[in-house]
Amino acid sequence: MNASTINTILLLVVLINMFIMGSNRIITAIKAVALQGIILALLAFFSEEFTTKGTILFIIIVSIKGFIIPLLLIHATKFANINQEMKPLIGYMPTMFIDALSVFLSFFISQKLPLLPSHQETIIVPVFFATLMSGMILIIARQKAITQVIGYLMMENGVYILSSMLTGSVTFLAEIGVLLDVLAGVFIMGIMLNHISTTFEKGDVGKLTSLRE
Amino acid sequence: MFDIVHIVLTLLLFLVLSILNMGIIIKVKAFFGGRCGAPVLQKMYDLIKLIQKSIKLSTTTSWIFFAGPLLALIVPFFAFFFLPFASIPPIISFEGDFLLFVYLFGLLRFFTTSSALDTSSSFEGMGTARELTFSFLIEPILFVCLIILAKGTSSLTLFGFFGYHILDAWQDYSTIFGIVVVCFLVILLVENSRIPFDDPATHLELTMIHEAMVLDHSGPLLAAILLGGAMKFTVYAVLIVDLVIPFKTGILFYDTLIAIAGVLGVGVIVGIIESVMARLQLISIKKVLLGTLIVSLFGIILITR
Repeated sequence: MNASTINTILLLVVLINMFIMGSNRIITAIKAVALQGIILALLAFFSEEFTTKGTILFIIIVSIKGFIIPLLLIHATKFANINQEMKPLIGYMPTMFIDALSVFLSFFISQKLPLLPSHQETIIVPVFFATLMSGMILIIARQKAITQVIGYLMMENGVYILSSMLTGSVTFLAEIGVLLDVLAGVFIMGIMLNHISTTFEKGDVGKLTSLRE
Repeated sequence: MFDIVHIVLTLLLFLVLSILNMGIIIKVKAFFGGRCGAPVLQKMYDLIKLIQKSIKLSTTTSWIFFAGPLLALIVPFFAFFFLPFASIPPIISFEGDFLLFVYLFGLLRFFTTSSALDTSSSFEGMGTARELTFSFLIEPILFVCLIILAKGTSSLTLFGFFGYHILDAWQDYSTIFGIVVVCFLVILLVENSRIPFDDPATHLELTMIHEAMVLDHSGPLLAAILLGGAMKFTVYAVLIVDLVIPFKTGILFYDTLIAIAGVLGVGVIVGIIESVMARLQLISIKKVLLGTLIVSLFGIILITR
């Protein structure tokens, strides 16, 4: 795959970040993150030679990021009766603007980094920074517990861009480990969401400050 | 090169294309609705009917009321002078003419809104406010897109943007130019008040945007505004076609045929968009336009790094 195609697909990833920042329904955001994960897995799969290891990793990643985690999260939202509204602490338009600023910042940062010439012509590193920051912004700017999970998944997607695109297939074991962590994290978060919703009626993390033993 | 017959023929072609395009949009929408639809030349019959009518004037109007429709006729013609069509070079071309191209439409907007305010009707004031809000959001997008083109083709004229370098530029910056095409399409839809942003066929003054401004124009004045709107649509369609179809066969006849097919194709695409999409909420239009602006800014980042 040439640099231009990779850049186009990575741009799509940034646009999905922006879409999640502007979307006000939780299930839409979950689906968008799943789509982002699938796009990234496809990108990593097609940018290398076909190997058995790579194919297995691809299938695992697509099934976990694209199907298992979103289904778990959607199930959790329905089970815990979470309202579809995102409940922003910072409004949708300001969040989009902050996200755009973070994209500019990440392009600026990655120009200062001493990268290999082959990595400089693609926008892998800036998109990694941008996705990581978008995840953090989402965690900060939204009130509900489930949006924090979505932000966490976005950050994981960001890390995946860097690990798979820059270092090649040597990261098989590491990526599997990270995926297991994410899956476990989402699992635990799903259970926690239930407990939060039964105790406080709404999955609002602002209320967690008053938790006692 | 610039013989007068040539120019007149090009402008006639432009005029015919404008009228055809409006008819094609109506036909496509009728096809999607399962209807037969009005004939393709219906716009022309409407214009002829309007010209035969008399003008009704409000007592509060002054000469400004006539300036809007007059400029609506003149400006698209003048803007078309700067654009290359097929392999025909533009009639006027100088360094930085893309700035003039943008602000010609700014001038048109100023006089259209002034003539709307001149009637001292509250509906038209509301329509003016909305139109100006959208145009203020559109202008940076158009500018950013033109800057991207200037950087990509390293020239400062519209002829340079779409002339000989465009094919090489497409090979180098295909992603970024793809973004520019999408932005141009959004600009075309907003500027010509097409459906996702404004409904040209709405019948309630409160929901109108562009149409609210021309409520008081009647007869020949309304005909001028309608024809001007159709020509403005064609100017933007030519802008898109110049960018999307960069290759030239070298034979004038074939190039012109391809360009005509392209312009009519834009009409078909707009018709399809209007058929499959509902009108956006007034609030979410702002969101969409700011999103488009951010996307176009990505283009600038990508092209300057």
